[in-house]
Amino acid sequence: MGWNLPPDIRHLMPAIALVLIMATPPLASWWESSMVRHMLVQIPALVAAGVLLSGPVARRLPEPPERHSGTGAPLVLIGFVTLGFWMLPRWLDAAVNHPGTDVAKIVSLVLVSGLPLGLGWRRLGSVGRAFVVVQLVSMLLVLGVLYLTFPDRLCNNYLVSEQTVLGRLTLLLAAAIGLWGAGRVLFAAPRAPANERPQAPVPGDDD
Amino acid sequence: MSRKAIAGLAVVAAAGAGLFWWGTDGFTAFTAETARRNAVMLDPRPLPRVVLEDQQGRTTSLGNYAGKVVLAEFAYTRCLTICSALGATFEQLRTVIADEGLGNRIALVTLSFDPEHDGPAQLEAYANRFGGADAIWTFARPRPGPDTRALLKAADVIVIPDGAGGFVHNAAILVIDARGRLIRILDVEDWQEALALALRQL
Repeated sequence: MGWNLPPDIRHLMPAIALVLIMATPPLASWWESSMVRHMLVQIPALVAAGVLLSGPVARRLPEPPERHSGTGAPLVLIGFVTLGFWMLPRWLDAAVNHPGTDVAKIVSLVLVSGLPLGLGWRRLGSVGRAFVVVQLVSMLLVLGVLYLTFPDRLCNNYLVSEQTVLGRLTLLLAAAIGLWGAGRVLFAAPRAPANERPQAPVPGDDD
Repeated sequence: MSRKAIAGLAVVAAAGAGLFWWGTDGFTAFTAETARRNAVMLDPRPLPRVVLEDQQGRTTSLGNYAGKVVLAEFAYTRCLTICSALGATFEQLRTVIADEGLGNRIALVTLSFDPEHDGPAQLEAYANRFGGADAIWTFARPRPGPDTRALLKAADVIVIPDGAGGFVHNAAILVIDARGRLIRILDVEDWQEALALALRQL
């Protein structure tokens, strides 16, 4: 399938496939029936689909760099605000209980979280990118500790026992991303400053 | 960082704060449970007057309590955990209502959300764990299917399997006014507040 599609469409296929796997009704309910699958698989995958879209979208945008300078950080913040909103237990619950809210969640995580994150990331220098990674790790640490220590259920749709498992996995994820970041800082080969070399590849930039 | 970036960040941060303000009822409701309680308090809602069957097999309905304030709880008779705490609290409430002679003004109703299993016999046995049903306290089940779902939905009660054959649900005391409207949802520990609120309604 898709061999004769124009390249523009072909480049969108990975993102579309990911959204279909995560959001087609019977599959969506399965992902959402577990707090761990909902928060550590479905939501990150939908954001990733948006990041994958950002490659083809960025190529279609007019490219004078001065037009884009200064937009990286605000775009990344838009992505984090949207993601943070769906991390609110109230809205996570609402997405499980109300199909309309779930559609809003799916669409916004792809187009108002992943896509601006991907576009913004391309426009950030190395300091900005490091800041984003540190911010992500600290957000995951706070969430992990919250899930582990909160005595009651945060969501009416999930058990405390699963919340505890999610807490542990979230802390592990934070540690993994933190170690990866530290490894890049400590062991990466010295390189030219970000503004003197071609843009680093990002996920979804498949050519 | 460029001036443009700072201005952009400020705009996004302000819009984000507005979004979170809206999404948490002004930074008060971070969980669905708090949101449901806020919503009921601000905007009391009628509960569907579905047909109920009590512990003796008699047909009743929440509509039969018009003129009385009802303190209700959801439970299932195989429950060994939270329902017991809630049941013990209702037992205490019944004692106070009886002692103060409030039985003609305040009623207690335990509603089963597991009607397939909880027939009159099961309800009766469950009632006996808490001193038995009487004129003040009724144990009842709605009909399985749409009636049960409608009742749970109206009260925003979410029932999920606990993985060990039982259920977990957002247990609470529901205060229903003399017109059949759900006006407040309170924690088990706040039973005195529930009683005081009931008295203020009369």
